[in-house]
Amino acid sequence: MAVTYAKDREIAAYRWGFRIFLVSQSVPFILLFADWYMFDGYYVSRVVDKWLGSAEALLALVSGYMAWRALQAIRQGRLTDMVQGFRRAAVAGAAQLVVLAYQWGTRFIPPGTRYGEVYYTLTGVSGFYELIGVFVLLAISVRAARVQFTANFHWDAEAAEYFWIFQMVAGLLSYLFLYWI
Amino acid sequence: MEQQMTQAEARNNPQTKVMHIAPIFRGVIWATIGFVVLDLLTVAVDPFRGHPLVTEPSEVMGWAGALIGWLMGVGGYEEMILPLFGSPSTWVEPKDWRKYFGLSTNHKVIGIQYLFTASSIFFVAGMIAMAMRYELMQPSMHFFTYTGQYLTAVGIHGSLMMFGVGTVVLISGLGNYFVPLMIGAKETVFSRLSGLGHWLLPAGALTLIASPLLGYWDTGWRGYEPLASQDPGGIVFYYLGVFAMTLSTILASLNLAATIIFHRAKGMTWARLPLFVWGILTVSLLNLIWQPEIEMTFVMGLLDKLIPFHFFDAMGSPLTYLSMFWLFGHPEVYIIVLPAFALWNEIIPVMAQRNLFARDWAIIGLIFVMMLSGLVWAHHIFTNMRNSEMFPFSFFSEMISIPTGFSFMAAIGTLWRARLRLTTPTLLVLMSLFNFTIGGLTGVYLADPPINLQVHDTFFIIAHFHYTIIGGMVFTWMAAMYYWLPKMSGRMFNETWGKWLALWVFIGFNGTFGQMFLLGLDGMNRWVPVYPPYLKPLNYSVSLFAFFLGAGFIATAIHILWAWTKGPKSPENPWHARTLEWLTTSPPPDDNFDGEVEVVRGFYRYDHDEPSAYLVKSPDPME
Repeated sequence: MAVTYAKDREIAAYRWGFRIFLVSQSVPFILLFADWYMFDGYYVSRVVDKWLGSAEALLALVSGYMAWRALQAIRQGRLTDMVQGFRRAAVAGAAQLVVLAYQWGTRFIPPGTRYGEVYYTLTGVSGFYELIGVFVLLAISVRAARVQFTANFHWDAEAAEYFWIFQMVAGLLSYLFLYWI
Repeated sequence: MEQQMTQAEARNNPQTKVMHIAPIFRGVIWATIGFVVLDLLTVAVDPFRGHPLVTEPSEVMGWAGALIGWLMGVGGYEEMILPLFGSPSTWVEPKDWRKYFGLSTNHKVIGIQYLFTASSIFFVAGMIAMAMRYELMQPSMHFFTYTGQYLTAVGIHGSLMMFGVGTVVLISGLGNYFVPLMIGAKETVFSRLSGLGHWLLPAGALTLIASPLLGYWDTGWRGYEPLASQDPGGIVFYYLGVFAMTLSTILASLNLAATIIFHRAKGMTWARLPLFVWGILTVSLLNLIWQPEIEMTFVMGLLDKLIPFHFFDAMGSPLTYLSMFWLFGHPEVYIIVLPAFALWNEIIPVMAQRNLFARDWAIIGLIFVMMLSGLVWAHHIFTNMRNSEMFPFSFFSEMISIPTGFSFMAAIGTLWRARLRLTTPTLLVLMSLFNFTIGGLTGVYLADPPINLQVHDTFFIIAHFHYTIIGGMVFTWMAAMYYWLPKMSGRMFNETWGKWLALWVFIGFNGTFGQMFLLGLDGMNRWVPVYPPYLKPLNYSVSLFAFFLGAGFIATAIHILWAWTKGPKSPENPWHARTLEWLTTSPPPDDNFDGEVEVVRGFYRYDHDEPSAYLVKSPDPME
């Protein structure tokens, strides 16, 4: 029992530590949202392509759902489903980054405007977190092939999913601020 | 089901790797490769920016490559990347002195690494201060050739002291070493992350020190806009260096906060938690909120510089930058001094062998300072505000003196009619109390708009904040080094030398910064290497005391180093302290305690002889 208690405490510590880290990482987004309001108040540029933005948001949601399903799979002991789920989520996330890169490449949104500055900063920051998330999802899916993940041994997968959901929520909030509010 | 869930372990036995070169040398080589590769790639993609090999974007990308190469080279590759992909770690931590020159997972090694790095930074930044004081001995330029050189020196001095020393020594240094010991933990929660975090600190400091190579920047540690966006490339290394150092602080704080919450020994309830641990917990939470805030602000500043965007320049809102900076900047001051407040009340009851007066209020004070610290920032920018806007910030700036006073109340209440042992740590804590009283009271004056507007940007301000930071924190740092030296090294310092050196530093400090109050009131402006001749005599005198102070710090460092290596052997618990770090051997073994710790009562009562905790020794495997 003592071993079980120690292990549970260890996982509880990892879980709390990782959650507080994510709370800490939400500060840059809060700052950007607040700064934007302080510069100009919120507004949506007329040149923005809401369809492409919505496609990005949809891909983020689909990807988040896939990662969540992958975590459910390993909780039920289905390792292969977890690996596939994480890889699919990473692909969906990468697709979202491709759409973002297309938006950046076309320069539909002029960088020299206030909206453009906030747009490129906010999407750049959330895209950076997403890039790290894709790396983590792929790394954990590779790790799962080499290390025994079971229904009871999968903190690593849980952490990856936490990070992925965090960046998804940050990305979706950025989408709401950039395209709708 | 017995075991609910745990971290998966690698299947294979690790194939250990013996490094043929010191990890830091490998780090330098990999960092160089990282810089060259990403710098050249960036220049190839974005070539027309004025120089064929080094441009502002290529500096940034090259720096990122160098940082990654450095972190991988010092051990991150084996300890972090290989396990991330499921391969066993091949990293071997040496048992001898070489353990200090690579990634370590032992919190005591990490603590000493932080202390050594931060002390080195203190020395470099201190020498820069000496150069500044030498320049100011004459009213005209006689040492620096250009004003930009002087201003860059001011900026590097301030940034290194704040981000590389002030935020580091008591939290990442002594916090890493002593918090796990004081709560009866055998290890920290995120030990690999913490070990990697240390190596961000020298990287950040070296970046800042290298910044003049890319052009003199003249904003000081505040990076004020719109000046920063007009500065040469050196400002880019200011942003990047500070970014690395603040990231180091975030990782240390995360690790310490999680360790305090989850790795406490049996019986170590919140009501029994030592004061210093409370101090570290409160500032760790502050760090986790405010360090990412300044990092994002600096990213925006960097974008203003590189692209250029116009967030903070004349087309944007320079005032927003000021607010964003001080929103972090004032909590930063409390991040620096809160652990010092806690240490006063850690050391005084031990030296007086007397119950800590109003322990609960001392803790409440720490928590309320933490909470109020985010509500005072605009008193730094009163000159840019309407009168009506000043009131709330003036109010909270004065209010924060009340919970600060709780720490004084606990200290003075404990000292009241006590038979105090006047040891070197005691003397330095008393000096710190004296100095911070001056720093704090002038802070209350400065919270009042009429005085604030009058002395804004004069040497009065410099005197005030040096009284809080050197007077409050650095004196307490020295006290804590003497107090814990027998624990860290198993050796004792020379009391006579310790006291004379403390007096030396105290006289040097008050002579330097006490006169700076007068200098400020006489009209001496900050940020200028040239000033009206009538201010020369006082400036000359300040500089002489400053050199005296600098020499005092060096002599103190030599004394501590001597005691650490050659001092006489110390008894196990020379101060008769009750906290848990004194329950183990000096220096402590790798896993801190040779057995399980059980706390049975609080640590700050000296009206009985019962122990506060028991160490149930592990059975000897040979028996």
